[in-house]
Amino acid sequence: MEKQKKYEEVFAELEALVGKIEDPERDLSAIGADVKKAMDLIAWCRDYIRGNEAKIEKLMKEEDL
Amino acid sequence: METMESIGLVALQERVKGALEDAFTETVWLRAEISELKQNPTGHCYLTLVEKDPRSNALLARASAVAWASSWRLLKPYFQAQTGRDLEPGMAVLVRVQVSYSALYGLSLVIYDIDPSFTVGELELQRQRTIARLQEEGMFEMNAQLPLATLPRRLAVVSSATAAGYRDFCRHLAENEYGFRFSVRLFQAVMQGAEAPASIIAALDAVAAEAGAFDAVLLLRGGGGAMDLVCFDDYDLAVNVAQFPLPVLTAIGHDHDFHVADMVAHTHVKTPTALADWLIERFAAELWQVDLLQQRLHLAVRAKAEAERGVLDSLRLRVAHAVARRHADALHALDVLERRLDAVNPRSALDRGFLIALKDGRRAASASRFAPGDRLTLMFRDGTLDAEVKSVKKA
Repeated sequence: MEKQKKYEEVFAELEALVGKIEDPERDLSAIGADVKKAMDLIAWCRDYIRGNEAKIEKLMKEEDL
Repeated sequence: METMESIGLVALQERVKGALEDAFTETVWLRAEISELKQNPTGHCYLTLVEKDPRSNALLARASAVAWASSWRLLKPYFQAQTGRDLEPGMAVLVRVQVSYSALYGLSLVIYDIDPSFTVGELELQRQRTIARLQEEGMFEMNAQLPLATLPRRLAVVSSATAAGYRDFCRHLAENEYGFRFSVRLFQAVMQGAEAPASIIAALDAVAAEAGAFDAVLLLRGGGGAMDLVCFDDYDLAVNVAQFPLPVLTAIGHDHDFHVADMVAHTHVKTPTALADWLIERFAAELWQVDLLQQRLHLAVRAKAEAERGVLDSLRLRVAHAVARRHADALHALDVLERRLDAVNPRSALDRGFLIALKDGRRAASASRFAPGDRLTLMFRDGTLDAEVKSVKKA
């Protein structure tokens, strides 16, 4: 169940991050790092849903997820 | 010692036999449950019939019965054709019997006929009783209340390796168009007949021993006759499903089948193939959610980039306006200066018809600078003339 919980946590983090990026108070220069992180989380979620274990492990190491 | 009146065992048995034959001159329809059933090589079928207390299940009566080969070879296929199932222990039956008594073997019931519709009806009644009991015991919502993983990938399947339903399920899952990968582990069980409930419960126990390794357990059974699937109405099996520590997903039989095990399971899907679709759709829906977030992310970034571009455009416009305004102001100032210069330009005075007097090549603006006989030059708009002063009159 640990991996499933991990997915749900990552998805929640991604959702919160996108909400933060959508905040009209934050301008383009302030969201660069968040956009990069969100793109990485999206790739992670996609691979996880597809069951691509090798890619997931690689991403987890790279992103310290 | 007083001589007691007595009879021999044979005589006693003869009297019992006579009494029974007087009491049962004709065959009777008998309701009973099959406790044991054995067909011997000669084709005769020997049964033990019982009656139990409906509440406590305690044994109330037992009798031996036999269907001779001549009857059994007709009754067996007839029952099977009507119910889709073989006669087996645990089944309630309505049989037409002749009561017989043997001095050597005791009471025996000889079976001549059977009413399959009674068995079907009894099973339905039993099913309703099971449902009512499970409802009373609060079993219906127990398994459904367990949280199912968002992505149930690690699946324990209780089925038979040779069952078409199991193979269809595995193939459908493996060939999904999205390329989702699942981990399926089979826990073999007998999936029909009287042995099925105990066999399935044993398989569930094996799954429960490794519950942490799975996200859900699936009960799979492809199509079959209604009577083949009666085992999924079993009370003990239903209790095990309801109380199982993982969500139980069932796909048993055809579209129209709905069993007690389905009722107490976490999720019921009609067929094994439909269950595979259900799982795939669950993953596809999650993928769609991620796609949606990616779209939101792109829109947010694009909106911010456009907002930034708007700000830059606005600034550029303000700069252009400011430059244009400064340019116009400068032109206006030049115009004013030009007009002021024009006003003091002698040429303007000449153009308006005035004359300029020059003495010795220099402008002479006062009459006092002249004396009679002085020579002077008069400038007109279109030329000059030389003149001599005759007289001077001061104003």
